[in-house]
Amino acid sequence: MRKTFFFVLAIILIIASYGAGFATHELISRKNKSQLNLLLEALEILKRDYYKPLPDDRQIIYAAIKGVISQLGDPYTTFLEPQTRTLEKDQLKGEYGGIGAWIRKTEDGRFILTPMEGSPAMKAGIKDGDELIEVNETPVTSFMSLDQVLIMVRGPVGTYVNIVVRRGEERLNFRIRRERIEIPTVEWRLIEQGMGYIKITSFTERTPRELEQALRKLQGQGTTSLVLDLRGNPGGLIDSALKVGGFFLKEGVMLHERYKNSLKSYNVIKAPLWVDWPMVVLVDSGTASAAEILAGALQESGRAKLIGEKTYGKGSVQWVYDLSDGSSLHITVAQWFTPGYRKVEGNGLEPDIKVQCSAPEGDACVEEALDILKKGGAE
Amino acid sequence: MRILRIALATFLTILVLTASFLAGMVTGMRQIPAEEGGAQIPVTPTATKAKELDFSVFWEAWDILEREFYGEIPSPEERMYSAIKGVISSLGDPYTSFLDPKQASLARQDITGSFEGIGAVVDMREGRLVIVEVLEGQPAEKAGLKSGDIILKVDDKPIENMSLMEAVLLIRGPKGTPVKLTVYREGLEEPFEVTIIRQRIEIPTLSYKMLEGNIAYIKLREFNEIAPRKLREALKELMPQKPRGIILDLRGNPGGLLSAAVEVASQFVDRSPILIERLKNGEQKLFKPVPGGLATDPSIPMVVLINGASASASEIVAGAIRDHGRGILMGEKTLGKGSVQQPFTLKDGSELRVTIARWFTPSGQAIHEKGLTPDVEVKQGEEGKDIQLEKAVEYLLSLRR
Repeated sequence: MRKTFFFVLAIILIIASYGAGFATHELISRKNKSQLNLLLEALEILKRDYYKPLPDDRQIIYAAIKGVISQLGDPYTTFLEPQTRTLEKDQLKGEYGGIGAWIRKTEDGRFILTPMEGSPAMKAGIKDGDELIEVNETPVTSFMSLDQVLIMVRGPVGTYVNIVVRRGEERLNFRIRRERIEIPTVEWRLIEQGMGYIKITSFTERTPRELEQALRKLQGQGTTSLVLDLRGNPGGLIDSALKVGGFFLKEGVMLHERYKNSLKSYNVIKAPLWVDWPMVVLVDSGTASAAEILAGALQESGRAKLIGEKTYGKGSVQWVYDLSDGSSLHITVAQWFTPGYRKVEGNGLEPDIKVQCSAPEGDACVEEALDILKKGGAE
Repeated sequence: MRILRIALATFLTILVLTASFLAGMVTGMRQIPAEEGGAQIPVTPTATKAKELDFSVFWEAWDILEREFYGEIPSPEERMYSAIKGVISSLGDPYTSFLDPKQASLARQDITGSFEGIGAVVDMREGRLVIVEVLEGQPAEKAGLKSGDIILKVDDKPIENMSLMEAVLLIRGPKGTPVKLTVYREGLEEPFEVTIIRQRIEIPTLSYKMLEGNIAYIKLREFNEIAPRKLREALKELMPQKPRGIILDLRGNPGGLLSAAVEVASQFVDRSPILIERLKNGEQKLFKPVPGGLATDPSIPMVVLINGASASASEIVAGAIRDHGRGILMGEKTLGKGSVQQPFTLKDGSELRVTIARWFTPSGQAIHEKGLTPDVEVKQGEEGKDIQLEKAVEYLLSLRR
């Protein structure tokens, strides 16, 4: 009896929620319809009378979205078409399934391969300079964009891709198993005894893991002080920067974000490893966004001095919304401030020690960094 | 049917007004329906595919922006206009444009054939706003602007990705008000800024005189609605004097109304067609001459003077005169603006101007992007001397007698 009751109740609930959903949908589409009127009216005229063929329907919709966005006057609010979005996801993840070859498009519209060292492409026998002419039985043409071709070659790890290349007069067929291809974001080395150097090129999902490995290796080699190089780092995922902060800071706020109607503060995310080595951070005018968040937090907490040039000054936060057809919107939703509420947007961070880093000979900034670390050690 | 007529009449009036406003800008506005061969405005839109378009992604983006965007978000109407402009800019045709209700009413207000601006003829070429000609004695010339200059910004607003019409409306404004232009000139390292006070620009549509050697000289500066009448008046005075030749000067003439072009050409050419118009479905319209031309007598030789600022309706007239063997073209290659825009007024008063057709000369030569090459090329030399006109006179005097 009870069972039946719950069963009926569940059914009623399902129907009710379906109905509610349907009604909402109707409401939304009715609202939309009235607003849509003018765009629809314009499109009808263009479809009927415009002299040349119109772009395909998808492109028209994308152009309309881009039109709306262009009016906002915010360079960081952008629209990405599905293929570009897929590549960006790979980039932010720091890895993708592929054959491990660079592809470049020549001016006359050919696609040239260069295999990465030790990659599936190289093991299969792809040579530098091979021209890609077919991917999975689809001919590659000069009308395709590089993004389009990259997407065709990439795919889930473990699947196969058939490609045909032209090498001189020959046409060669390859069947290559896609492997995990990593996009490294951390470089490290020991500059001299006890002096470690780490360069972070961008903040992806993989960065904290890569950093952990680098720090452990340096630790093993007896590192006692560190140069962290964030020059030319354009940023990336904020969460990744918060995790990276955890390797150097035990606790505390790393940034504040001011939204339309609210303020949120974010703390350092605890890392599996914490180093207390004296450190300095190298910055320049290419240090932007998430890299500025990290630099600002390290500077204000007194954990590290900034050496180099004034940073870029990108103090806005974008959220990425994936739309139903695989395209995505990056929308500026907030401004961020350093823990001490310094505004970074348009201002950048002033280094504690100004050094012109872009000298052609040597690396003045690294020299200066070593000097400072050594002095600190002598005290 | 009655309503339809009224609607048509209203539409026509608006069109005429709009077209006359365009003086000073390279135009190819069409007047519809012309007596003969004019395209019909499709009154009942056939079942279009626009309704079947899937707008769901557009609305997704729309809603997210509205909800989340940090900065000031424009009103829904403004956003809709931007969406339409986005679609139009993806077409890559600078002559297809969208005017929001404010711009559209501005465009309709001017009924006098004159306008308030800086007195320069501009065109959009490869996405850049280029000065094709500065009109003599007008503010643009006094400010030192030259043809070939590229306007980058108007009052600090970049005009990149704008349609020609939008850009022109920014430059124009009430007389006495200043407009700041940021201009790039080849050879200069950096763009320069110049502030110009707008004036009422009134250019006589047509002027004429009898030159030495009994050569009739007619200069037509634009194809507005009074141009055909002015031309007939001039010819009524000139033709009884039995001129030895006629020079029709279309240099710097940016065009105007198609109907005016047909009527002007009909004064000199009595054979069909004056021009061919091709629509997208391959449909072709031949425009016949209006009977009663005053200067069609082939025994009076004719030279048409053209240059790089002769556009649109000018190219139609020059093409008809040459293709029917009525006269030769002298000077420099024309602009090559042979596409036709039709304005559509949308429900909320905004206006969509759509490129609907291309023009071809009677022999089938495309005007658009090609331009007309003169039979005798004469470059304009140093300032203060009109070598092109001298050569034209020389040529006409050298013929027979």
